Amino acid sequence: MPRSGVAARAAGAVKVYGEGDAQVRALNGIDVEFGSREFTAIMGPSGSGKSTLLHCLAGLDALTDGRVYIGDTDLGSLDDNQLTRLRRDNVGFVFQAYNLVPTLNAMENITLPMDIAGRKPDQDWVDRIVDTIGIRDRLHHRPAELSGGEQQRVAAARALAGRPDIIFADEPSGNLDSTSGAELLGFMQEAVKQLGQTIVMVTHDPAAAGYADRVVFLADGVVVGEMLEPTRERILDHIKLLEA
Amino acid sequence: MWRATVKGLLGHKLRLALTVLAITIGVGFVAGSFVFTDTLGSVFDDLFSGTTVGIDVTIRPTIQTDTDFGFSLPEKIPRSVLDDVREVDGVEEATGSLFWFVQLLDKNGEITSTNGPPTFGASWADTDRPGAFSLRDGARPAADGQVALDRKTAERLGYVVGDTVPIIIFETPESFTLVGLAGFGEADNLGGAGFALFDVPTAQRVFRAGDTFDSIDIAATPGLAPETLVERLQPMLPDSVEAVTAQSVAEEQAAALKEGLGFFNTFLLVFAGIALFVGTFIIQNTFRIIVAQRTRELALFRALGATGRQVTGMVLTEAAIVGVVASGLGLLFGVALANVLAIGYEAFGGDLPEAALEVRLRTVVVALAVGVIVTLVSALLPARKAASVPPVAAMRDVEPTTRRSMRTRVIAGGLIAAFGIALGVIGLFVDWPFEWIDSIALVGAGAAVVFISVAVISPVFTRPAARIIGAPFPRLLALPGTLARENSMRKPRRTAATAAALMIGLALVSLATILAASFRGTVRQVIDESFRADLVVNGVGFGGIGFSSSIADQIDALPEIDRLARTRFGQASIEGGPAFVSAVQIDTFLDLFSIDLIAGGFEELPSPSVALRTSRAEELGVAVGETVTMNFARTGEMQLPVAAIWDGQGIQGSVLVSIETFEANFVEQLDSQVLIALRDDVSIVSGRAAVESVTNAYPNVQIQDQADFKAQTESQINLILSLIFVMLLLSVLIALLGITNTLSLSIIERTREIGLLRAVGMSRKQVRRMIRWESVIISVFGAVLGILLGILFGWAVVKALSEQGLLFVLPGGQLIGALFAAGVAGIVAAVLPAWRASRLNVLDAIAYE
Repeated sequence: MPRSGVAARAAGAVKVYGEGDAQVRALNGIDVEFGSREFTAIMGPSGSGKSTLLHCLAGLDALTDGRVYIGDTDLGSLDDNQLTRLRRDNVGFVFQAYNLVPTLNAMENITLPMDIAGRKPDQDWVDRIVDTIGIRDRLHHRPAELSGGEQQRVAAARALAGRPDIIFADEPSGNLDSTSGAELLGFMQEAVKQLGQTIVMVTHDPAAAGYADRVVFLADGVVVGEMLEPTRERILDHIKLLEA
Repeated sequence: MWRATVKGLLGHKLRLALTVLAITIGVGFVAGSFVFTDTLGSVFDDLFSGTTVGIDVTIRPTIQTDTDFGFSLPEKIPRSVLDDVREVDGVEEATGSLFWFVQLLDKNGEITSTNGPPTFGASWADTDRPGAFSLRDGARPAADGQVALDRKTAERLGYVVGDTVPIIIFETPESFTLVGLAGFGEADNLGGAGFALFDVPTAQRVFRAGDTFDSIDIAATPGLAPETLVERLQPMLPDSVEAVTAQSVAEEQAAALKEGLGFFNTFLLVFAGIALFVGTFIIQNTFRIIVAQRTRELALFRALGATGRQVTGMVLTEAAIVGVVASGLGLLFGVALANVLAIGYEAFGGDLPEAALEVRLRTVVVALAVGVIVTLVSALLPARKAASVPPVAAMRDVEPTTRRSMRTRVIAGGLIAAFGIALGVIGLFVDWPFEWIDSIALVGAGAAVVFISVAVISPVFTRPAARIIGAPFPRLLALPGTLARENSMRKPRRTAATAAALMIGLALVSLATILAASFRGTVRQVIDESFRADLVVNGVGFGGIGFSSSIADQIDALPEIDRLARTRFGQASIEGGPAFVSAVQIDTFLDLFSIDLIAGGFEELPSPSVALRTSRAEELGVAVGETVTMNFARTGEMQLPVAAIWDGQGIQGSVLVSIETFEANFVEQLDSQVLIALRDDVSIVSGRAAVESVTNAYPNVQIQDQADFKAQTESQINLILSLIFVMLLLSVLIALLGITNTLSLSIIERTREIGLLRAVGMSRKQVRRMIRWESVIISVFGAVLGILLGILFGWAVVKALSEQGLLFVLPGGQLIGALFAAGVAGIVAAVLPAWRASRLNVLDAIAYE
């Protein structure tokens, strides 16, 4: 059960690609809720529709049928400009790779969404994030001068800096070695616990999902299961069960 | 490998579309120029050979003074020669003919043909032989008072058979009845020039030829070769005339016209060359970017076993295919262009008989060769670079390591620049003795080399320049502005290469602007300094012919006039070289013309003697009191003492004689200018009115005051300038295509980045803004470089011509305007790429692999 409030939800979400014989039903009727101040992981094999669900939740793609909400806003009712503004002001993103603008340094990348909006960042908040994530001494470096782990942490800082309603992460630790990955996921957990953020993460890695408060399991475009207080071992067991 | 190449090409054909366009335009101008001039050349050949049908030999005066322009007509042939020739065995028929220039008045009583070819006047002999002229309508002129006009002119002026046509030959207009319309061979007029035909006695009367002729046309008895007849005739002719075959006359005349065509051809080819030169920068840039973007793919080939040379070959083959396709399109474009030129030619009064455009094999070969070679040469460096892609790049991202140090770049660029400057300096300031390449070509080559050197060096200061140019962007345009600036600084070589094309265009435009301003300023200053008269009477229409001397006499009699000075111009030769001779009135000319007397005096000028300009005296190495040999068309060789040496802007040419001397030695006695000083108490307005009372009867003269004079000269400069500008705009257009091209390609590279920006909330408008202002930085950078170079070139050229009195004028306002226009052009160039960038599907971009 979600702890307090619903940050985002999907109701009867259907997403179809292609036509006729070549049709692919990436999402086949999904109902799911994501609670505020929670760290939720979405897991599933490739082709399960997890990335598609994330994209639709984030306003990057449009559903074929059904609805998707961020807070109380029905994303289907927004036009492109409104969706863009939503992404700018209310949503944070961390991708697997290519998160940063190469010509800006770390600090400028962190304040990117606010610069786009032309708003001044809340300096105290940004300082707090920077220190929590631990990249203060790298702030004036450009992405080319940062390691993979540092880049992802900068990306995470950017996602947090705007105090969004929800943060979507697509395999954030996928390209990292286990140490950096663990570091990153730890910070994300901190962000939820200490800073009251909401994170929805897509991952195929049970270890990564173990950092979440809740795991939603997807297969063939539908929700097939759920787990609270996940650990890596329990997740592995559950997967074996699903595959049976 | 071949199949891979072709497939690779088709894979990114859109990327190459703009490159193709650049080559197509350049090749098109090359082909179009050749097709047009070939076609016209053939037309002229046919025309002139058509005119000699029925005529085998022509007798004409031998004395042909060395003239580079102008019409100094030699003595005429007396009737006695015609009678003698008719007696010669082998001469079937001989007719005398005359020609001169006339000016037609249209139905409003105004002079026709102010700019453009003149109207000839000629006699039309009463024979049954076919000849130069053919009757199209009505009848030949057979009596005094009758005239036939070429059909094109008659149509243009609205005259039909039966109308009265006023014609000016020397004095006031005389009216003739239009009895027939004629053609010249197949055409309706002669290469744009019209003609008025009279019967022989009338022609003699109106041309004031007495009983003489300008030439004698002879038909040989059938079977007799013209050359044989020439040999038979020559001994019995006086020294002043010669016999030549009609064929050679036709060839000479056609050659003269074709020489003019040759200049036009060269003119067009120069601009085609500029367009192609600009194109090479674009092509090189494009291929460099494509190679960079295909690093993975090329590395794969290398990993699978292709050698570096094979990879280079792949890229070059692609370039060759592009070149062939583009050249083919260019040929088609060229033919279309030739059509346009033909239409323009007809619009300017020329007449082209229904002839197909001539596309010779030479044209096709040259067009293809030029296009392919230009493309290959431009793609050479990037192709070589492709070979250095390491195979391992197929598996992971490899940072391009070749960072040739900036210092090497500056040194190399400096050397190249020095070479280019040396070429230019030699071309401009040194007397170049060799035949096989002339000074202008040297200067052009020097300029091209300097361009290349600047292109080599410019990456060094691209970053600081972009930073400065983009300095206001972060504040004015927020984040998109910051990103625009950062992006332009990101790959200095690419930014510089893109800007280089625009640099060339703007350098040339600036050069032309500066030269025009300098000419204008010099002319203005010359007129200010030397224009002492209140009013000037000039001839209207095909200039240089002059007008009746009675006009000046009549004006002199007016009470409003204080004094006047008339001049006449003519061509002669002095010490074997051509001389432009001015004749002046000794008593008044010093008051009205600004002349500096350096040595000697003008009082003795009528004795007869000559007065030389300083430069001419130095060139001939003579001083006051010494003698020079002059050769006049009318009187032949004369020894004349040098009475004075002078200098100044007020008189054209370098040889002065008195009016009396001129009357003695020249055939044509027409005034070419009358300078008038009004009495002090007479205003310009009333003075002008008084003079007009005289000149109104002569439609072929006009009155000008100082302001009119300046305006007229300026408008002539402006006309030439507009033509040049239109051509230069072509290169600028190609350069802008280059910017669009580079931007499009770099957007493909930055797909992920743009997707990211869109994902985190950058609106489409902001994305467009980012691309747009990046383009502005590039184009302003190119423009600044170009304008600076243009100023440098302009200064050099003016310096070289400063002997002729050219002053350097820097039209600051116009140059800043050009800079501004370049910025606007940058915005335009970015429209398409910016639009495409903003329409990137965010999801595709993020998921882009």
